[in-house]
Amino acid sequence: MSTDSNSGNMIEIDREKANFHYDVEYKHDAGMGLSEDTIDYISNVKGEDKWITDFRKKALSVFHEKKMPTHWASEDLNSINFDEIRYYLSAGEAPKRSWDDVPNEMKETFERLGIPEKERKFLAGVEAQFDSEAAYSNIKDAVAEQGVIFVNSSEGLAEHADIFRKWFGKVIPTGDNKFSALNSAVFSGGSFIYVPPGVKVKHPLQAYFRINAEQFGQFERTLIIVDEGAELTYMEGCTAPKFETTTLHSAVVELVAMKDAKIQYITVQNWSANVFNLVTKRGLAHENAEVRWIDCNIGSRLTMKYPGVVMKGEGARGEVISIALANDGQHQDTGAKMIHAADNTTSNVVSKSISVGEGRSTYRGQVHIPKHLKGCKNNTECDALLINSKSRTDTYPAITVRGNKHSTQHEASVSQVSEEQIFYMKQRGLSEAEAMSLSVNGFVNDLVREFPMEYSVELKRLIELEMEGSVG
Amino acid sequence: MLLKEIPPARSFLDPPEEAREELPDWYKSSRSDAWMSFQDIDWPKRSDEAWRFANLKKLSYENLYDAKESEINDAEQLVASSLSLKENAGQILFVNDRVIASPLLNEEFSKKGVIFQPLSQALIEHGGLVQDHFMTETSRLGSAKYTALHRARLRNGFFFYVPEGVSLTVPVEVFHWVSGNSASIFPHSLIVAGPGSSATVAEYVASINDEISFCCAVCDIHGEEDSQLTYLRTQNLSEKAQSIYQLSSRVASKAKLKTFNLDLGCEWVRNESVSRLVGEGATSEMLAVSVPEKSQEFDMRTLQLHEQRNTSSNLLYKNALYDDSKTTFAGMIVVEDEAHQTDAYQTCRNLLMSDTSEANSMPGLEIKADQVRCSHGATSSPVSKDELFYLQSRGVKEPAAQQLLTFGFVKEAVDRIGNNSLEEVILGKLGRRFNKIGAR
Repeated sequence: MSTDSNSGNMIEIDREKANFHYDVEYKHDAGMGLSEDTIDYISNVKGEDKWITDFRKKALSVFHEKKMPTHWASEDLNSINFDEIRYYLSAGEAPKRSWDDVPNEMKETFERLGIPEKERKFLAGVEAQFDSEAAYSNIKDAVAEQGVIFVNSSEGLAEHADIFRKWFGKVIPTGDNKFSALNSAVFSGGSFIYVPPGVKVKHPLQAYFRINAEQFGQFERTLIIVDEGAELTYMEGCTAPKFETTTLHSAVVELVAMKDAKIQYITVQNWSANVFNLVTKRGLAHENAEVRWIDCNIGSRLTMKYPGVVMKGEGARGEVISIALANDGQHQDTGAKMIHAADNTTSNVVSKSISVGEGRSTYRGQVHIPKHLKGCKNNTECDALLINSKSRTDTYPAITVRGNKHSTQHEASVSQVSEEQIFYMKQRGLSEAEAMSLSVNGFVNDLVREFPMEYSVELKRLIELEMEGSVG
Repeated sequence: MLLKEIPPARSFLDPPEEAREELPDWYKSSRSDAWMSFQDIDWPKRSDEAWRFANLKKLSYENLYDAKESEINDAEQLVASSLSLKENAGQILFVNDRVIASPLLNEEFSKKGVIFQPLSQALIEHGGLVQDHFMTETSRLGSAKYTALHRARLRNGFFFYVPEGVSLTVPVEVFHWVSGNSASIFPHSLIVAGPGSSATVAEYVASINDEISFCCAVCDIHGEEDSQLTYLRTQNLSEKAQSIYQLSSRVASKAKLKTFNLDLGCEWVRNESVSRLVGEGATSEMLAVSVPEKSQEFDMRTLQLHEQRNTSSNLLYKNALYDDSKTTFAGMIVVEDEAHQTDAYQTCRNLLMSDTSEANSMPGLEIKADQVRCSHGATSSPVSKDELFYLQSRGVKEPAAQQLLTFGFVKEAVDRIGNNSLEEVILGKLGRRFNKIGAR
């Protein structure tokens, strides 16, 4: 399909749905640029304990010390101007428990994105973050009664310090990378979740992240602790309007799965094409626990995200399932990190990417099996689909295996939609666009099925929709 | 065979020896320019992406000296003690980068215009031809400093030129030995296969004694249109030696190149292998086998660079790791903008034979064109329990079964050479290695 004439138009994701913004009067604005004053401002607004302010300030100096990782990552990172970003914006009110109490502009925003409707249908709890703070946060009574805690990060650290402080910054230390340090310095919003032993949360909890303001940085911080034998599915979605200037989103997400616990973390990322999405995500799996990352990246200008699992307890399991779609002007730099730190741990990575027009998708992976362990297994598969002649894809895995009691395998392939397939379908009366859409859906189909029903339907529809009418 | 101790003299960090007066001017200035750039380029650091996972502590820069003339020069005995072909079309023998016996080339081929000479001689007799092909490739995989070092200090090597349409049915052979404590050699290999020609080259590098030594080699291959070339190299230096070897090839339209590399010796090895497919229909096959043991560390970096459409490359590296040994494989397939219809494969398989061996694999792809078929695979695992059980249940004892299975594992790459007499040499060398390991 290397026809340049229709380059980039074969698959065009529906971004217009989320491309709107409201003029909101912000009560708190930390202003442009980043300094110790910014941190004092944020800490002051939030009324934080001194240890948190100190933690933030230490992180700020780590952020300044660390170099941009451009020796391996995209040079595009250098186009982020940290002095022209606002680090904290909020309307200054605590999150509302009812949609009726949410300020109008924010409520309309989330209505247009269909969040309240989804909540009614199939969610156990929702948090909706608008710029720096959550506008709405609610958990169904039945779930709260089981002892599940679902709050934003400020409330978590203030009200439940005994639970959250122990793990806060432990799975992803401040100095992990430049952007985890930045997040540690200016974090605001995000979810803190605790599921007590044995509680299996039936329906997913969801967080929705919305950026409304221009020249803004969103730095949510999420920490999820699922206690022994408990289970949780968490979903997050994100959108922003399209501005001419760059927007930065840099989250830190830490998961802790205690013995026999299961966490499934699902992301559908559909940021507008001016957002730098630089996210650090890692889970810690104790004995026989399972951490699964299901990750779908459709939006943003540059995404750098490599969800990881540290398998700390015997029999722990880690999994990353990832779908990326890179269109013109987009670079989806995603991957996975699997650190085996105990016997008989297993991990699985399946990554599929589609590059359209001049889009570029990259897979980076790390698998590490140290000495003196036994019975560790890793399987990695990366498949890339190139739609146009200028589309680009890269794969950079690194696998370290020590000792002869393990097995790892890595496979990657690059292909395109075959002319025969398209011809076959056209012969049977499908238009070229329909045929293309069907092929692409077929390519990601086995992964889309891993998403919860509602999401997989929506994902399939997104891909289908975009290809209709795009070929003349 | 006792060697009188020759006091070492010129460290490889000292300015290199002056080039001989009779050598062409372009070559003299190439040497001095290279010495300048050697001093300008930084030493590799572990934080360099091209040196990820490399243990640079094992690479010493000090106490290494340009190898001096050795007293060992009994060519017949040296050849007899190493495994090589029964029949060849020509041979050149070096000890410490010095020719020890008159180079031979079958008259039939010299009459047809084939040149097979020590580089020192070719520089004088075929200066223009050498100049056109001498170190024209840039170092792409991290060892630019060593490329410059090699260019500045090289003393000898060979030049093999096959004119248009000439076919050599029998391989030519090149032997290198190194002798003397802390001796460094810089052998250079330059192979030009003219349009429509075909030839096979086998090169062996080995130590005479169990001594510290350093080998910094460069091999450049030019496969012109429609040519067919097979190049094979074995490295069996002492267990105390270090080796940096850079192989670059340019494969032109419809040309076929096959390279095979066997690494057995050295404490520390760095191999960089680049194959550029520069003409439509070019094909390159890159094969390698290594069997590290004890604390040996082999670091292999490869690049399959598809610059034109309809090109294909196929890489197969097999490592069987014993004891505390370590391998690093970093392979990259690059498909340039216009290189549609590329077919590229890359496979690295590690067989871990001990609980303390370590295999690092970094198979990479960078694809900038569509309508391509590219895939890579990397595996690391022990000998399959099922296969072991199968052999044991038929009465083969475990150690023997292990050895058989390992031999079979590496043999897959050897079989792809597609030349019985060369395969025999390689299998012979591997057999010696496995017997030695089995006898422990």
